[in-house]
Amino acid sequence: MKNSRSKIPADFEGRMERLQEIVTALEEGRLPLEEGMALYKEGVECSRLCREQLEKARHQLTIWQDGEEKDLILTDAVSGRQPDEEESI
Amino acid sequence: MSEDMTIQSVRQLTEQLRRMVERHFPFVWVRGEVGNVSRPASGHFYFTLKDAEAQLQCVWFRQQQRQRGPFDPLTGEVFETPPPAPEELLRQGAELICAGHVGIYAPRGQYQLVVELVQPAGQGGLAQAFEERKRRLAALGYFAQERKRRLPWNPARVALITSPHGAAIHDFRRLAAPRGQAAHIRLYPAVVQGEGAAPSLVRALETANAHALLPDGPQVIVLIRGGGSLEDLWAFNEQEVAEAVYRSRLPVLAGIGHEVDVTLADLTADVRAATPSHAAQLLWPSRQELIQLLDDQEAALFRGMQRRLERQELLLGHLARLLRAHAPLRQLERLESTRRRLSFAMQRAVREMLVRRQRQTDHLAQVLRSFWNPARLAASTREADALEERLRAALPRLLSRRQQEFLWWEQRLHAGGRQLVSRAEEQRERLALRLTACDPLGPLERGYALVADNQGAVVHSVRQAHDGQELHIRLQDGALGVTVAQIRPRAGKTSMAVKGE
Repeated sequence: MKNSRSKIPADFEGRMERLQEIVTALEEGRLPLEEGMALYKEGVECSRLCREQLEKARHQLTIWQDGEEKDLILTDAVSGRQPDEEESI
Repeated sequence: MSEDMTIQSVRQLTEQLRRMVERHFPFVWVRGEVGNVSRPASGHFYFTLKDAEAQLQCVWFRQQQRQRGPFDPLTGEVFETPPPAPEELLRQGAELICAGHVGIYAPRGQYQLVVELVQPAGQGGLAQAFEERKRRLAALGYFAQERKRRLPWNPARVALITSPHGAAIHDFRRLAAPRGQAAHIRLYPAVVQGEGAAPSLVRALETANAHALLPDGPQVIVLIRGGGSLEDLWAFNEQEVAEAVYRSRLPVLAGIGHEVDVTLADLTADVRAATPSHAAQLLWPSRQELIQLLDDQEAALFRGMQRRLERQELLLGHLARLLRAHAPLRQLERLESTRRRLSFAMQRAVREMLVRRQRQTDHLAQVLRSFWNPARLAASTREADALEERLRAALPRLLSRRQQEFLWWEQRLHAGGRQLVSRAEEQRERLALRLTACDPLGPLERGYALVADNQGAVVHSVRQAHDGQELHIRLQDGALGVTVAQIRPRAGKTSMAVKGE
């Protein structure tokens, strides 16, 4: 069990993991009340952050070209499914 | 396929059959002998493939007949001589290998092979190449289930290998948009078709794997390509591509072509998606699902806390009650009440004991009094004294009286004695006199006689005698026996005449 005052992870999986960990710890119910309360708060915060993350979630699309990373803007021109449309670069 | 038992139209049934057949035979290689070739104005070829036991209707559409070229579209093999024209291949009685899918032509109720590729049999065509390569890679363990890795759940960093211009990337992005967390998808562009496709794919796979070692590197590789003909997808059957997939440090998710297309890269990949869209679905859970998961966790969190609090509250209440029960004041009260109870009991016991003792004492006192009364004692003493005194006084008196009495009796005895003697003397004299006077024989001396009967009894009266009776007459000097002769009572009196004997 991590320290209840540990910082909430920045990434989604980390937060989900932490949330799960907290739920498990609370369900086991062996913690002192104060620690439990702190964990609960942290859990609520984790959940809130995760939800926020999901609500705002947009995949970022980049392209690795010529040894560097660039943003990739896809034109929506290609919407039909032409099996033979694949082209050589 | 619908499973209801309603009556169907021919069209409905045929449609079901068509779908079923297309699903089950999406791509087949068939070998047979060509027959019944016809080529109408449309430019399509219609023919049959047959062997000794069966025959198969085939159609080769004009659009698919683009086999012309200086190299093999599937293998990239450059022909020294141009490939044979379709009409050259489809000679009556020629042995051919045809590839394509099985379909149903509804208007004629006929199943047929929709041909994509035609090769002369025994020439080492694509089919053999594919099968042979597949066997070899399988033997090398490329497709072994035990080396398949799981995809990371809801990955944040994804390496996408495909063409930036194809349909695949669009499909993938569209399906990915409502799924998963905000992920960073980095495209490693590759040629996915035709010349140079295989090396390009291999390079992309290598670059992505190299980046995997960086802190922000991808967690998983997604290898996709839109649907196409067999030769369009052929690059994914190249051994070097399969090898690159096999060597990949990152798990590889492959979604190549349509659902029915299976390439060696697909078979080697850790996870195979049916299509690029499907790859996006396999890679990320839907965001709704994630939110639901979050909701569940939140609910569990709340429940857990609630239960905890309730438990604590219960415990607190219990402890508070215990505490109240054990408060010093209460303790004191309890002790006091115990003390009071014991005190009462003690008092009562003492009282009872006293009463009992009193009663005993009274009784004893009474008994004692009845035995040990001073007044009575004094009286008794006095009485005893008096008695003693009387006793003492009585004895000498008694003695003297007895003495006197004795003396008196002694005198009387002496006097009595003397008197008795004298009186006896006198009486003797008198008796002696009287005796002398009373001697019956005395009178005899003076002439009196004594008459007696035989028995000696004195006869006093004449009446005692009877005639003839013998009587004894005693005289002073003897006795006479006589017999009564006559009785003469005296006047007034009977007299008796005694006759002497």
